[in-house]
Amino acid sequence: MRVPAGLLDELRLQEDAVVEVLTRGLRREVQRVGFERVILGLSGGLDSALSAYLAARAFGPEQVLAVAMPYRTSHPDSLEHARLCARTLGIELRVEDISDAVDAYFSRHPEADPGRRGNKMARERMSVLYDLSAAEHALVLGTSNKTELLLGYSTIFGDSASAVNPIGDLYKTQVRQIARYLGVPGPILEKPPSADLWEGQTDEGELGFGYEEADVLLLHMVDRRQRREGLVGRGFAPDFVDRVRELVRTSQYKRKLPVILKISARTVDKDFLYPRDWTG
Amino acid sequence: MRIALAQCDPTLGDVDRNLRLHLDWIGRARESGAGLLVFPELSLTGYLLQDMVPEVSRSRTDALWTELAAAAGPMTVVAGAIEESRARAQYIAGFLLSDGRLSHVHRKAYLASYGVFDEARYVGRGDRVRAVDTPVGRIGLAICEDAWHPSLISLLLLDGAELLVLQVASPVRDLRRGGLPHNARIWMDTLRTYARLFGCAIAFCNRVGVEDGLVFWGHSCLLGPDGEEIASAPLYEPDLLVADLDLESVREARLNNPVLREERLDLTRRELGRLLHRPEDEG
Repeated sequence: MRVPAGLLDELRLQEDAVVEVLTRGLRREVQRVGFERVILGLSGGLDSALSAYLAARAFGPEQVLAVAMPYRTSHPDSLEHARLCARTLGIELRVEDISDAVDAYFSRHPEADPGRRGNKMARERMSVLYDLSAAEHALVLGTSNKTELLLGYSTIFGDSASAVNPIGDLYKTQVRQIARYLGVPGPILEKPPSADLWEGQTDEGELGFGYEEADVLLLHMVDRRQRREGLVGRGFAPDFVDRVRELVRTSQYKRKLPVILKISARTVDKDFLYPRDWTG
Repeated sequence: MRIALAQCDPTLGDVDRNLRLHLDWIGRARESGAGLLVFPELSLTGYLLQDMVPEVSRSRTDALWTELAAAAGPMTVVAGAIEESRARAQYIAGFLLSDGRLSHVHRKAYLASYGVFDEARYVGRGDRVRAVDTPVGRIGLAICEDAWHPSLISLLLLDGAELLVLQVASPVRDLRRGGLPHNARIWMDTLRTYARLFGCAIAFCNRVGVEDGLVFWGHSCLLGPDGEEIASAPLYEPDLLVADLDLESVREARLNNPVLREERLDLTRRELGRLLHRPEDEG
Protein backbone atom coordinates (compact mmCIF):
# COMPACT_ATOMS: atom_id res chain seq x y z
CA MET A 1 0.00 0.00 0.00
CA ARG A 2 1.23 3.45 -0.76
CA VAL A 3 0.00 6.90 0.18
CA PRO A 4 -2.06 8.53 -2.59
CA ALA A 5 0.02 11.19 -4.30
CA GLY A 6 0.04 14.64 -2.73
CA LEU A 7 -1.89 13.68 0.38
CA LEU A 8 1.05 13.36 2.76
CA ASP A 9 1.65 17.11 2.65
CA GLU A 10 -1.76 17.65 4.22
CA LEU A 11 -0.45 16.23 7.50
CA ARG A 12 2.29 18.83 7.74
CA LEU A 13 2.09 21.21 10.68
CA GLN A 14 3.68 24.56 11.38
CA GLU A 15 6.20 23.35 13.94
CA ASP A 16 6.78 26.52 15.97
CA ALA A 17 3.06 27.24 16.31
CA VAL A 18 2.33 23.68 17.44
CA VAL A 19 5.17 23.64 19.97
CA GLU A 20 4.04 26.97 21.40
CA VAL A 21 0.43 25.87 21.88
CA LEU A 22 1.38 22.46 23.28
CA THR A 23 3.93 23.77 25.78
CA ARG A 24 1.64 26.57 26.96
CA GLY A 25 -1.30 24.23 27.30
CA LEU A 26 0.77 21.60 29.06
CA ARG A 27 2.15 24.08 31.58
CA ARG A 28 -1.28 25.38 32.36
CA GLU A 29 -2.98 22.01 32.67
CA VAL A 30 -0.30 20.69 35.02
CA GLN A 31 0.05 23.77 37.20
CA ARG A 32 -3.70 24.24 37.66
CA VAL A 33 -3.90 20.94 39.56
CA GLY A 34 -1.07 21.96 41.86
CA PHE A 35 1.93 20.29 40.23
CA GLU A 36 5.23 21.79 39.17
CA ARG A 37 6.86 18.50 38.19
CA VAL A 38 5.91 15.83 35.69
CA ILE A 39 6.77 12.15 35.31
CA LEU A 40 6.60 9.97 32.25
CA GLY A 41 7.67 6.59 31.00
CA LEU A 42 10.56 6.90 28.57
CA SER A 43 10.58 3.79 26.42
CA GLY A 44 13.34 4.77 24.04
CA GLY A 45 10.74 5.26 21.30
CA LEU A 46 9.61 8.34 19.46
CA ASP A 47 6.32 9.14 21.20
CA SER A 48 7.67 9.26 24.74
CA ALA A 49 10.74 11.12 23.51
CA LEU A 50 8.51 13.87 22.08
CA SER A 51 6.45 14.05 25.29
CA ALA A 52 9.72 14.40 27.22
CA TYR A 53 10.99 17.13 24.89
CA LEU A 54 7.75 19.08 25.19
CA ALA A 55 7.77 18.66 28.97
CA ALA A 56 11.37 19.86 29.23
CA ARG A 57 10.41 22.94 27.20
CA ALA A 58 7.33 23.57 29.29
CA PHE A 59 8.79 23.08 32.76
CA GLY A 60 12.57 23.04 32.42
CA PRO A 61 14.56 19.78 32.39
CA GLU A 62 15.00 19.71 36.17
CA GLN A 63 11.20 19.36 36.59
CA VAL A 64 10.90 16.29 34.37
CA LEU A 65 11.38 12.80 35.78
CA ALA A 66 11.68 10.07 33.17
CA VAL A 67 11.38 6.41 34.04
CA ALA A 68 12.63 3.58 31.85
CA MET A 69 10.86 0.33 32.75
CA PRO A 70 12.51 -2.51 30.87
CA TYR A 71 11.38 -6.11 30.99
CA ARG A 72 14.02 -8.79 30.60
CA THR A 73 13.09 -9.40 26.96
CA SER A 74 13.06 -5.70 26.02
CA HIS A 75 15.48 -4.83 23.25
CA PRO A 76 18.71 -3.43 24.76
CA ASP A 77 18.52 -0.51 22.30
CA SER A 78 15.32 0.66 24.02
CA LEU A 79 17.07 1.44 27.31
CA GLU A 80 20.03 2.84 25.41
CA HIS A 81 17.79 5.20 23.46
CA ALA A 82 15.97 6.26 26.64
CA ARG A 83 19.36 7.13 28.15
CA LEU A 84 20.34 9.01 25.00
CA CYS A 85 17.11 11.00 25.09
CA ALA A 86 17.42 11.83 28.80
CA ARG A 87 21.09 12.74 28.47
CA THR A 88 20.44 15.01 25.47
CA LEU A 89 17.62 16.76 27.29
CA GLY A 90 19.33 16.91 30.68
CA ILE A 91 16.40 15.25 32.48
CA GLU A 92 16.66 12.70 35.28
CA LEU A 93 16.19 9.08 34.18
CA ARG A 94 15.38 6.29 36.59
CA VAL A 95 15.42 2.66 35.63
CA GLU A 96 12.73 0.49 37.19
CA ASP A 97 13.02 -3.07 35.92
CA ILE A 98 9.56 -4.69 35.86
CA SER A 99 10.74 -8.26 35.18
CA ASP A 100 10.40 -9.53 38.76
CA ALA A 101 6.91 -8.15 39.26
CA VAL A 102 5.62 -9.43 35.92
CA ASP A 103 7.32 -12.81 36.21
CA ALA A 104 6.02 -13.33 39.76
CA TYR A 105 2.48 -13.03 38.44
CA PHE A 106 2.93 -15.20 35.38
CA SER A 107 4.70 -17.91 37.39
CA ARG A 108 1.15 -18.75 38.45
CA HIS A 109 -0.17 -18.41 34.87
CA PRO A 110 2.50 -20.02 32.70
CA GLU A 111 -0.02 -20.58 29.90
CA ALA A 112 -0.39 -16.82 29.25
CA ASP A 113 0.07 -15.82 25.62
CA PRO A 114 2.23 -12.87 24.45
CA GLY A 115 -0.81 -10.58 24.29
CA ARG A 116 -1.63 -11.09 27.98
CA ARG A 117 2.01 -10.69 28.91
CA GLY A 118 2.36 -7.51 26.86
CA ASN A 119 -0.74 -5.99 28.43
CA LYS A 120 0.45 -6.91 31.91
CA MET A 121 3.76 -5.18 31.21
CA ALA A 122 2.00 -2.05 30.01
CA ARG A 123 -0.14 -1.99 33.16
CA GLU A 124 2.82 -2.72 35.39
CA ARG A 125 4.52 0.34 33.91
CA MET A 126 1.40 2.43 34.52
CA SER A 127 1.33 1.17 38.11
CA VAL A 128 4.98 2.14 38.67
CA LEU A 129 4.42 5.61 37.17
CA TYR A 130 1.39 6.32 39.35
CA ASP A 131 3.24 5.14 42.46
CA LEU A 132 6.24 7.35 41.70
CA SER A 133 3.85 10.16 40.82
CA ALA A 134 2.64 10.16 44.41
CA ALA A 135 6.12 9.70 45.86
CA GLU A 136 7.65 12.49 43.77
CA HIS A 137 4.61 14.77 43.55
CA ALA A 138 4.95 14.72 39.77
CA LEU A 139 1.96 14.50 37.42
CA VAL A 140 1.87 11.59 34.95
CA LEU A 141 2.17 12.66 31.32
CA GLY A 142 0.79 10.56 28.49
CA THR A 143 2.73 9.33 25.49
CA SER A 144 -0.02 8.06 23.19
CA ASN A 145 -0.33 9.63 19.76
CA LYS A 146 -3.57 10.25 17.87
CA THR A 147 -3.05 7.35 15.48
CA GLU A 148 -2.81 4.74 18.21
CA LEU A 149 -5.62 6.34 20.22
CA LEU A 150 -7.89 6.11 17.17
CA LEU A 151 -6.81 2.63 16.15
CA GLY A 152 -6.98 1.36 19.72
CA TYR A 153 -3.38 0.22 19.42
CA SER A 154 -2.79 0.46 23.14
CA THR A 155 -3.44 -1.35 26.40
CA ILE A 156 -6.52 -0.07 28.21
CA PHE A 157 -5.50 1.29 31.64
CA GLY A 158 -1.91 0.65 30.61
CA ASP A 159 0.01 2.94 28.26
CA SER A 160 -3.21 4.80 27.58
CA ALA A 161 -3.41 6.01 31.20
CA SER A 162 -2.16 9.48 32.14
CA ALA A 163 -3.29 12.80 33.60
CA VAL A 164 -2.34 15.00 30.65
CA ASN A 165 -1.30 13.81 27.22
CA PRO A 166 0.59 16.48 25.24
CA ILE A 167 0.81 14.47 22.00
CA GLY A 168 -2.69 12.95 21.84
CA ASP A 169 -3.80 15.20 18.95
CA LEU A 170 -0.74 14.48 16.80
CA TYR A 171 -0.76 11.67 14.26
CA LYS A 172 2.34 9.48 14.26
CA THR A 173 3.64 11.20 11.13
CA GLN A 174 3.19 14.54 12.88
CA VAL A 175 4.92 13.23 16.01
CA ARG A 176 7.91 12.45 13.81
CA GLN A 177 7.82 15.92 12.21
CA ILE A 178 7.67 17.78 15.53
CA ALA A 179 10.24 15.47 17.14
CA ARG A 180 12.67 16.15 14.32
CA TYR A 181 12.05 19.90 14.69
CA LEU A 182 12.79 19.73 18.43
CA GLY A 183 16.02 17.80 17.87
CA VAL A 184 15.12 14.30 19.09
CA PRO A 185 18.25 12.21 18.37
CA GLY A 186 18.51 10.47 15.00
CA PRO A 187 18.51 6.85 16.19
CA ILE A 188 15.17 7.41 17.92
CA LEU A 189 13.70 9.16 14.89
CA GLU A 190 14.83 6.56 12.46
CA LYS A 191 14.09 3.19 14.03
CA PRO A 192 10.83 1.41 13.17
CA PRO A 193 8.06 2.08 15.73
CA SER A 194 7.61 -0.83 18.14
CA ALA A 195 5.79 -1.54 21.39
CA ASP A 196 8.81 -3.77 22.19
CA LEU A 197 6.61 -6.24 24.06
CA TRP A 198 8.22 -9.20 22.34
CA GLU A 199 11.21 -9.72 20.17
CA GLY A 200 10.99 -8.45 16.61
CA GLN A 201 7.61 -6.79 17.16
CA THR A 202 6.95 -3.68 15.05
CA ASP A 203 3.77 -1.61 15.01
CA GLU A 204 3.52 -1.61 11.25
CA GLY A 205 4.12 -5.36 11.08
CA GLU A 206 1.43 -6.02 13.64
CA LEU A 207 -1.10 -3.56 12.21
CA GLY A 208 -0.47 -4.70 8.66
CA PHE A 209 -0.13 -1.19 7.23
CA GLY A 210 2.19 1.79 7.50
CA TYR A 211 1.67 4.82 9.70
CA GLU A 212 1.87 7.33 6.88
CA GLU A 213 -0.92 5.70 4.91
CA ALA A 214 -2.99 5.24 8.08
CA ASP A 215 -2.46 8.86 9.12
CA VAL A 216 -3.48 10.27 5.77
CA LEU A 217 -6.54 8.04 5.74
CA LEU A 218 -7.49 8.98 9.32
CA LEU A 219 -7.05 12.67 8.52
CA HIS A 220 -9.65 12.37 5.78
CA MET A 221 -11.89 9.91 7.61
CA VAL A 222 -11.87 11.47 11.08
CA ASP A 223 -10.88 15.13 10.80
CA ARG A 224 -12.58 15.80 7.47
CA ARG A 225 -15.42 13.30 7.94
CA GLN A 226 -15.25 11.98 4.41
CA ARG A 227 -17.47 9.10 3.45
CA ARG A 228 -16.29 5.75 2.16
CA GLU A 229 -16.90 6.63 -1.49
CA GLY A 230 -14.91 9.83 -1.12
CA LEU A 231 -12.01 8.00 0.49
CA VAL A 232 -11.96 5.33 -2.20
CA GLY A 233 -12.21 8.08 -4.80
CA ARG A 234 -9.07 9.64 -3.36
CA GLY A 235 -7.18 6.46 -4.01
CA PHE A 236 -7.44 4.54 -0.73
CA ALA A 237 -8.00 0.81 -1.24
CA PRO A 238 -11.54 -0.17 -0.15
CA ASP A 239 -10.36 -3.03 2.09
CA PHE A 240 -7.84 -0.72 3.79
CA VAL A 241 -10.58 1.86 4.43
CA ASP A 242 -12.85 -0.82 5.89
CA ARG A 243 -10.11 -2.32 8.05
CA VAL A 244 -9.14 1.04 9.58
CA ARG A 245 -12.77 2.01 10.12
CA GLU A 246 -13.37 -1.25 11.98
CA LEU A 247 -10.30 -0.71 14.17
CA VAL A 248 -11.54 2.76 15.11
CA ARG A 249 -15.08 1.55 15.76
CA THR A 250 -14.26 -1.54 17.78
CA SER A 251 -11.75 0.28 20.01
CA GLN A 252 -14.15 3.05 21.06
CA TYR A 253 -14.40 1.53 24.58
CA LYS A 254 -10.73 2.33 25.11
CA ARG A 255 -11.46 6.02 24.67
CA LYS A 256 -14.34 6.16 27.14
CA LEU A 257 -14.99 5.79 30.84
CA PRO A 258 -16.64 2.49 31.86
CA VAL A 259 -20.35 2.17 31.11
CA ILE A 260 -22.52 3.12 34.08
CA LEU A 261 -26.09 1.83 34.27
CA LYS A 262 -28.35 4.75 35.03
CA ILE A 263 -30.90 4.50 37.81
CA SER A 264 -30.62 7.87 39.63
CA ALA A 265 -31.52 11.46 38.75
CA ARG A 266 -27.96 12.43 37.94
CA THR A 267 -25.38 9.94 36.82
CA VAL A 268 -21.63 10.36 36.58
CA ASP A 269 -20.51 11.03 32.99
CA LYS A 270 -24.11 11.03 31.67
CA ASP A 271 -25.94 14.00 33.14
CA PHE A 272 -23.47 14.95 35.84
CA LEU A 273 -21.20 16.85 33.49
CA TYR A 274 -18.34 18.98 34.69
CA PRO A 275 -15.14 19.84 32.89
CA ARG A 276 -11.97 18.09 33.92
CA ASP A 277 -10.68 21.53 34.93
CA TRP A 278 -13.52 22.02 37.43
CA THR A 279 -10.83 22.88 39.94
CA GLY A 280 -10.25 26.15 38.09
CA MET B 1 -11.91 57.97 22.49
CA ARG B 2 -9.64 55.56 24.32
CA ILE B 3 -10.67 51.91 24.33
CA ALA B 4 -9.22 49.16 26.52
CA LEU B 5 -9.57 45.44 25.81
CA ALA B 6 -9.06 43.12 28.77
CA GLN B 7 -7.51 40.01 27.21
CA CYS B 8 -7.64 38.10 30.47
CA ASP B 9 -7.52 34.50 31.66
CA PRO B 10 -10.48 33.96 34.01
CA THR B 11 -10.56 31.09 36.49
CA LEU B 12 -13.18 28.51 35.54
CA GLY B 13 -16.14 28.56 37.93
CA ASP B 14 -14.67 31.01 40.46
CA VAL B 15 -16.77 34.19 40.22
CA ASP B 16 -15.31 35.77 43.37
CA ARG B 17 -11.79 35.43 42.11
CA ASN B 18 -12.76 36.68 38.67
CA LEU B 19 -14.53 39.65 40.23
CA ARG B 20 -11.26 40.65 41.90
CA LEU B 21 -9.54 40.28 38.53
CA HIS B 22 -12.15 42.55 36.95
CA LEU B 23 -11.79 45.17 39.68
CA ASP B 24 -8.02 45.11 39.21
CA TRP B 25 -8.20 45.50 35.42
CA ILE B 26 -10.90 48.19 35.74
CA GLY B 27 -8.47 50.14 37.92
CA ARG B 28 -5.69 49.75 35.39
CA ALA B 29 -7.93 50.74 32.49
CA ARG B 30 -9.12 53.85 34.34
CA GLU B 31 -5.52 54.84 34.97
CA SER B 32 -4.89 54.60 31.24
CA GLY B 33 -7.73 57.07 30.64
CA ALA B 34 -9.95 54.60 28.78
CA GLY B 35 -13.60 55.52 28.22
CA LEU B 36 -14.56 51.93 27.43
CA LEU B 37 -13.24 48.64 28.78
CA VAL B 38 -14.30 45.34 27.21
CA PHE B 39 -13.89 41.92 28.82
CA PRO B 40 -14.24 38.66 26.82
CA GLU B 41 -17.18 36.23 26.74
CA LEU B 42 -17.97 34.76 30.18
CA SER B 43 -15.14 36.75 31.74
CA LEU B 44 -16.62 36.44 35.23
CA THR B 45 -17.16 32.68 35.08
CA GLY B 46 -14.82 31.02 32.60
CA TYR B 47 -16.09 29.30 29.48
CA LEU B 48 -16.38 25.50 29.79
CA LEU B 49 -18.93 25.55 32.59
CA GLN B 50 -21.22 22.63 31.72
CA ASP B 51 -23.21 21.79 34.87
CA MET B 52 -21.65 24.75 36.70
CA VAL B 53 -23.92 27.08 34.69
CA PRO B 54 -26.69 27.36 37.31
CA GLU B 55 -24.10 27.47 40.08
CA VAL B 56 -22.36 30.62 38.77
CA SER B 57 -25.36 32.44 37.26
CA ARG B 58 -26.30 35.94 38.44
CA SER B 59 -29.47 37.99 38.05
CA ARG B 60 -29.54 41.55 36.73
CA THR B 61 -30.17 42.75 40.27
CA ASP B 62 -27.15 41.02 41.77
CA ALA B 63 -24.92 43.22 43.96
CA LEU B 64 -22.01 42.25 41.72
CA TRP B 65 -23.15 44.75 39.08
CA THR B 66 -23.37 47.58 41.59
CA GLU B 67 -19.84 46.85 42.73
CA LEU B 68 -18.46 46.70 39.19
CA ALA B 69 -20.35 49.81 38.10
CA ALA B 70 -19.06 51.74 41.10
CA ALA B 71 -15.50 50.68 40.32
CA ALA B 72 -15.96 51.67 36.68
CA GLY B 73 -16.93 55.24 37.62
CA PRO B 74 -17.27 57.29 34.42
CA MET B 75 -15.80 54.48 32.30
CA THR B 76 -18.14 52.17 30.35
CA VAL B 77 -17.45 48.48 31.05
CA VAL B 78 -18.66 45.38 29.22
CA ALA B 79 -18.27 42.14 31.19
CA GLY B 80 -19.35 38.57 30.47
CA ALA B 81 -21.30 36.23 32.74
CA ILE B 82 -24.17 33.75 32.97
CA GLU B 83 -27.44 35.59 33.49
CA GLU B 84 -30.30 33.96 35.40
CA SER B 85 -33.57 35.45 34.23
CA ARG B 86 -36.61 36.15 36.39
CA ALA B 87 -38.07 32.98 34.89
CA ARG B 88 -34.97 31.16 36.26
CA ALA B 89 -33.47 30.39 32.86
CA GLN B 90 -29.76 30.83 32.19
CA TYR B 91 -28.17 32.74 29.31
CA ILE B 92 -24.67 33.60 28.22
CA ALA B 93 -24.78 37.38 28.45
CA GLY B 94 -22.83 40.58 28.02
CA PHE B 95 -23.40 43.13 30.78
CA LEU B 96 -22.85 46.77 29.91
CA LEU B 97 -22.19 49.09 32.83
CA SER B 98 -22.26 52.84 32.33
CA ASP B 99 -23.21 55.92 34.36
CA GLY B 100 -22.73 53.90 37.54
CA ARG B 101 -25.28 51.20 36.77
CA LEU B 102 -26.09 48.13 34.70
CA SER B 103 -27.56 49.80 31.62
CA HIS B 104 -27.82 47.01 29.03
CA VAL B 105 -27.72 43.23 28.80
CA HIS B 106 -27.25 41.26 25.60
CA ARG B 107 -28.14 37.58 25.72
CA LYS B 108 -26.16 35.49 23.24
CA ALA B 109 -28.62 34.74 20.46
CA TYR B 110 -26.59 32.23 18.46
CA LEU B 111 -25.20 29.44 20.60
CA ALA B 112 -22.27 27.32 19.48
CA SER B 113 -23.25 23.65 19.68
CA TYR B 114 -20.93 21.83 17.29
CA GLY B 115 -17.33 20.71 17.31
CA VAL B 116 -15.95 21.23 20.81
CA PHE B 117 -18.91 23.43 21.79
CA ASP B 118 -22.11 22.32 23.51
CA GLU B 119 -23.71 25.54 24.70
CA ALA B 120 -27.32 24.85 23.77
CA ARG B 121 -27.43 21.98 26.26
CA TYR B 122 -26.79 24.33 29.16
CA VAL B 123 -28.20 27.77 28.31
CA GLY B 124 -31.09 29.39 26.48
CA ARG B 125 -30.91 31.53 23.34
CA GLY B 126 -31.40 35.26 23.56
CA ASP B 127 -34.02 36.75 21.23
CA ARG B 128 -33.30 40.49 21.31
CA VAL B 129 -30.82 42.49 19.30
CA ARG B 130 -30.48 46.15 20.24
CA ALA B 131 -27.84 48.81 19.77
CA VAL B 132 -27.34 50.89 22.89
CA ASP B 133 -26.33 54.48 23.56
CA THR B 134 -23.41 54.88 25.92
CA PRO B 135 -21.18 57.79 26.95
CA VAL B 136 -18.74 56.54 24.31
CA GLY B 137 -21.15 56.31 21.40
CA ARG B 138 -23.76 53.91 20.13
CA ILE B 139 -22.59 50.34 20.65
CA GLY B 140 -23.63 47.05 19.11
CA LEU B 141 -22.80 44.27 21.54
CA ALA B 142 -22.54 40.67 20.35
CA ILE B 143 -21.02 37.50 21.76
CA CYS B 144 -18.76 35.14 19.83
CA GLU B 145 -21.03 32.89 17.71
CA ASP B 146 -23.40 35.86 17.25
CA ALA B 147 -20.74 37.39 15.02
CA TRP B 148 -20.83 34.43 12.64
CA HIS B 149 -24.37 35.42 11.69
CA PRO B 150 -24.28 38.46 9.41
CA SER B 151 -28.01 38.94 9.98
CA LEU B 152 -27.42 39.71 13.67
CA ILE B 153 -24.50 42.03 12.91
CA SER B 154 -26.61 43.78 10.25
CA LEU B 155 -29.42 44.33 12.76
CA LEU B 156 -27.04 45.96 15.25
CA LEU B 157 -25.67 48.28 12.58
CA LEU B 158 -29.08 49.08 11.14
CA ASP B 159 -30.06 49.97 14.69
CA GLY B 160 -27.39 52.63 14.57
CA ALA B 161 -24.31 51.06 16.11
CA GLU B 162 -21.06 52.85 15.28
CA LEU B 163 -18.86 50.52 17.27
CA LEU B 164 -19.29 46.75 17.32
CA VAL B 165 -18.17 45.25 20.61
CA LEU B 166 -17.48 41.51 20.33
CA GLN B 167 -16.91 39.39 23.40
CA VAL B 168 -15.24 36.16 22.39
CA ALA B 169 -13.94 32.87 23.81
CA SER B 170 -12.31 31.17 20.84
CA PRO B 171 -9.92 28.21 21.20
CA VAL B 172 -7.22 27.13 18.77
CA ARG B 173 -8.44 24.94 15.95
CA ASP B 174 -6.13 23.75 13.19
CA LEU B 175 -2.46 24.73 13.32
CA ARG B 176 -1.34 23.66 9.93
CA ARG B 177 -0.02 27.11 9.10
CA GLY B 178 2.09 29.49 11.13
CA GLY B 179 1.16 32.64 12.99
CA LEU B 180 -2.56 32.73 13.67
CA PRO B 181 -4.46 29.45 14.01
CA HIS B 182 -6.68 28.74 11.02
CA ASN B 183 -9.91 29.71 12.80
CA ALA B 184 -8.30 32.96 13.98
CA ARG B 185 -7.52 33.88 10.37
CA ILE B 186 -11.15 33.37 9.46
CA TRP B 187 -12.18 35.55 12.41
CA MET B 188 -9.87 38.34 11.28
CA ASP B 189 -11.05 38.14 7.66
CA THR B 190 -14.65 38.30 8.84
CA LEU B 191 -14.05 41.29 11.11
CA ARG B 192 -12.25 43.21 8.38
CA THR B 193 -15.11 42.53 6.03
CA TYR B 194 -17.74 43.73 8.51
CA ALA B 195 -15.76 46.90 9.24
CA ARG B 196 -15.31 47.76 5.57
CA LEU B 197 -18.77 46.71 4.46
CA PHE B 198 -20.68 48.60 7.13
CA GLY B 199 -18.18 51.36 7.94
CA CYS B 200 -18.08 50.46 11.62
CA ALA B 201 -15.31 50.26 14.19
CA ILE B 202 -14.85 46.91 15.91
CA ALA B 203 -13.55 46.09 19.37
CA PHE B 204 -12.80 42.36 19.41
CA CYS B 205 -11.89 40.92 22.82
CA ASN B 206 -10.89 37.25 22.93
CA ARG B 207 -9.67 35.55 26.09
CA VAL B 208 -6.51 33.57 26.73
CA GLY B 209 -5.82 30.59 28.99
CA VAL B 210 -6.57 26.87 28.79
CA GLU B 211 -9.65 24.87 29.78
CA ASP B 212 -9.75 21.08 29.37
CA GLY B 213 -7.13 21.19 26.64
CA LEU B 214 -8.77 24.08 24.77
CA VAL B 215 -6.18 26.84 24.27
CA PHE B 216 -7.80 30.27 23.85
CA TRP B 217 -5.76 32.36 21.43
CA GLY B 218 -6.39 35.98 22.42
CA HIS B 219 -5.16 38.40 19.72
CA SER B 220 -7.78 40.94 20.78
CA CYS B 221 -7.83 43.89 18.45
CA LEU B 222 -9.36 47.21 17.57
CA LEU B 223 -10.28 47.79 13.92
CA GLY B 224 -11.12 51.10 12.31
CA PRO B 225 -14.03 51.43 9.86
CA ASP B 226 -11.55 51.06 7.00
CA GLY B 227 -10.94 47.50 8.23
CA GLU B 228 -7.37 48.29 9.25
CA GLU B 229 -6.04 47.17 12.59
CA ILE B 230 -5.46 50.07 14.99
CA ALA B 231 -3.88 47.86 17.63
CA SER B 232 -3.76 44.20 18.60
CA ALA B 233 -2.80 42.15 21.64
CA PRO B 234 -0.40 39.18 21.47
CA LEU B 235 -1.43 35.58 20.95
CA TYR B 236 -1.96 33.49 24.12
CA GLU B 237 -0.69 36.07 26.68
CA PRO B 238 -2.88 38.15 29.01
CA ASP B 239 -2.78 41.78 27.97
CA LEU B 240 -4.62 45.03 28.61
CA LEU B 241 -4.69 46.53 25.15
CA VAL B 242 -5.26 50.29 25.12
CA ALA B 243 -5.75 52.21 21.88
CA ASP B 244 -7.43 55.35 20.59
CA LEU B 245 -10.32 55.43 18.17
CA ASP B 246 -11.86 58.51 16.54
CA LEU B 247 -15.54 57.84 15.88
CA GLU B 248 -15.46 60.60 13.28
CA SER B 249 -13.77 57.97 11.11
CA VAL B 250 -17.09 56.11 11.08
CA ARG B 251 -18.79 59.16 9.59
CA GLU B 252 -16.09 59.46 6.97
CA ALA B 253 -16.34 55.78 6.04
CA ARG B 254 -20.11 55.97 5.69
CA LEU B 255 -19.94 59.09 3.55
CA ASN B 256 -17.55 57.28 1.26
CA ASN B 257 -19.60 54.12 1.18
CA PRO B 258 -23.24 54.65 2.21
CA VAL B 259 -24.17 50.97 2.36
CA LEU B 260 -26.24 51.32 5.52
CA ARG B 261 -28.08 54.40 4.26
CA GLU B 262 -29.11 52.48 1.16
CA GLU B 263 -30.23 49.37 2.98
CA ARG B 264 -33.73 48.28 1.82
CA LEU B 265 -35.47 47.19 5.01
CA ASP B 266 -38.84 46.95 3.28
CA LEU B 267 -37.44 44.69 0.60
CA THR B 268 -35.65 42.55 3.20
CA ARG B 269 -38.79 42.19 5.29
CA ARG B 270 -40.89 41.21 2.30
CA GLU B 271 -38.45 38.56 1.15
CA LEU B 272 -37.84 37.28 4.67
CA GLY B 273 -41.59 36.88 5.04
CA ARG B 274 -41.67 34.82 1.89
CA LEU B 275 -38.75 32.63 3.07
CA LEU B 276 -40.38 32.13 6.46
CA HIS B 277 -43.53 30.79 4.86
CA ARG B 278 -42.14 28.74 2.04
CA PRO B 279 -43.04 25.07 1.92
CA GLU B 280 -40.72 22.83 3.92
CA ASP B 281 -39.38 20.89 0.94
CA GLU B 282 -38.08 24.08 -0.71
CA GLY B 283 -35.91 25.00 2.31
